[in-house]
Amino acid sequence: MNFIYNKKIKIILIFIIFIQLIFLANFRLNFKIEIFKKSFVKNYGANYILPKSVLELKFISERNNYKKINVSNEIKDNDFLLQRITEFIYPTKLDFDLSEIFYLQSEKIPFSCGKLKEFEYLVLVKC
Amino acid sequence: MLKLINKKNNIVLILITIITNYIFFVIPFFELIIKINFILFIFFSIFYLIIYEKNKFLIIFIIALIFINLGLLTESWDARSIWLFKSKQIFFENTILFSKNNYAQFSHPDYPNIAPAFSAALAKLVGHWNEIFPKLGFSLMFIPGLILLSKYFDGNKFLILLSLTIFVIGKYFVNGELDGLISVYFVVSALIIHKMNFNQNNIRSDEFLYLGFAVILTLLKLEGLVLLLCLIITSVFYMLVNKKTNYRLMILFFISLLPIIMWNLYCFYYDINNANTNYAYSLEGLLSSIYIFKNFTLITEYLIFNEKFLLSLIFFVFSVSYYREKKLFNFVFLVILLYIGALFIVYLSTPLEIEWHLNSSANRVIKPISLLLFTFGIYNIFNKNIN
Repeated sequence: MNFIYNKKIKIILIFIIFIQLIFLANFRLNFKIEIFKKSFVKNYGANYILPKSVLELKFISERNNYKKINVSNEIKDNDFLLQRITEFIYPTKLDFDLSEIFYLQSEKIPFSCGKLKEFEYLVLVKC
Repeated sequence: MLKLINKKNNIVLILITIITNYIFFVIPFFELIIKINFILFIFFSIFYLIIYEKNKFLIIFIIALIFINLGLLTESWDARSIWLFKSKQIFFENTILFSKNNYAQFSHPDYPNIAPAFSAALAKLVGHWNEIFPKLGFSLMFIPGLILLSKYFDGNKFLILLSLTIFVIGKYFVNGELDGLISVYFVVSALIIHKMNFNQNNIRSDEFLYLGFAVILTLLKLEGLVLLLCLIITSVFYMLVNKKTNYRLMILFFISLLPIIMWNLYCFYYDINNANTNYAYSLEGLLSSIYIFKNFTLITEYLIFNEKFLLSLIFFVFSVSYYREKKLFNFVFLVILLYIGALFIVYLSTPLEIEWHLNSSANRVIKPISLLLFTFGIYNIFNKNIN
């Protein structure tokens, strides 16, 4: 039996590949069995990755069936937050011309704007 | 009827389902057909793996990939903000042409999107969206590539190649980025082109295989087009040097470039661009940085001194020096030279800070070349004509 079809070598190679896959899943990547179990559940997974304010914004836009929303300048200047919001709230889109604007709770709201509604992490204001 | 599907036709059918999925997403009225098409992809893949696949370990490997993929969050920026965001947009808009709105420029709406369309089809089949399973679509696209590698490299050769592929691609098999797919589709295209160039007999049966892999390669990412052009230029160069112009092959090369040309025309027509192309790669940028020696040392450091690239290069040089195969060495060498030349031009003309750009992308863009060197190294050592 030559090298190409040698069964002992085949077993060794398969063993090496399994070790590589286990290393990949557990050390290079963060494999979690609980994620696997719920991998096809609707809307699952976001709470592991995204900030609470982004999750809340999605919840608000879905509940109110918003097609478009606007966010504060501080959020616009924060690339991380703005990109996560853009991706996660889709199909709701961002429209920077709207007068109703979502601010973070930690932000200072301009005097010219009035609070419409307060949420846990966000405030909706009209400017 | 199933008896009519022979081994090669079956792989072509798998590739066709990926391409037709993309075509069906052009017009937003084919939701049912898209679902049926995806089921056909699954059917043809399972049919091949059960009936024709000699190396049954490939089935276990694919199941392991699916298992790992579904247990991972989509964390990397490229995966989330570019590829899966595109998938999500296709899923909700029912079309790949959503890009014309030029919405969210950070997500590169001008990038081709065959893989996101495939992942969106999986989501259509499931019926909803979440943050985990859509990236499985990208991992499933490895199936035709792995099948063809298994067909070309039988027995333990395939297992060695698979182990080296995991070494090179690693997490890109499952993490929602496309650099692993690019590498596999590129290497398979290179094998087919090499076969069509040097084993002139019976190349017609490979024409559809070439078209399938090459078209998908160019529609995955911009690097795919550059890599295919490197293969085509090398192939045409050999035809000219050997004075054996194969017009049929030339026409085939041209056809394989048509879909990406159409995509780029579409982007040009609607002025679709991304946050980087707004202050784009330019000749001025290239001319201003080409005289700075430090830029060359930086690019060399990141590209050439990449440990996986160096190991694959040593492996390939060893295989060629020991089992002398001049034609193969020249073919691979010219492809690498062209691609690395193209990468130097890209990095020298980058509008971004060069070290940041290299740091964020160099180890990914060199992967196709590392895998090419390992694959052709194994091919050279065992030196058996692929069929």
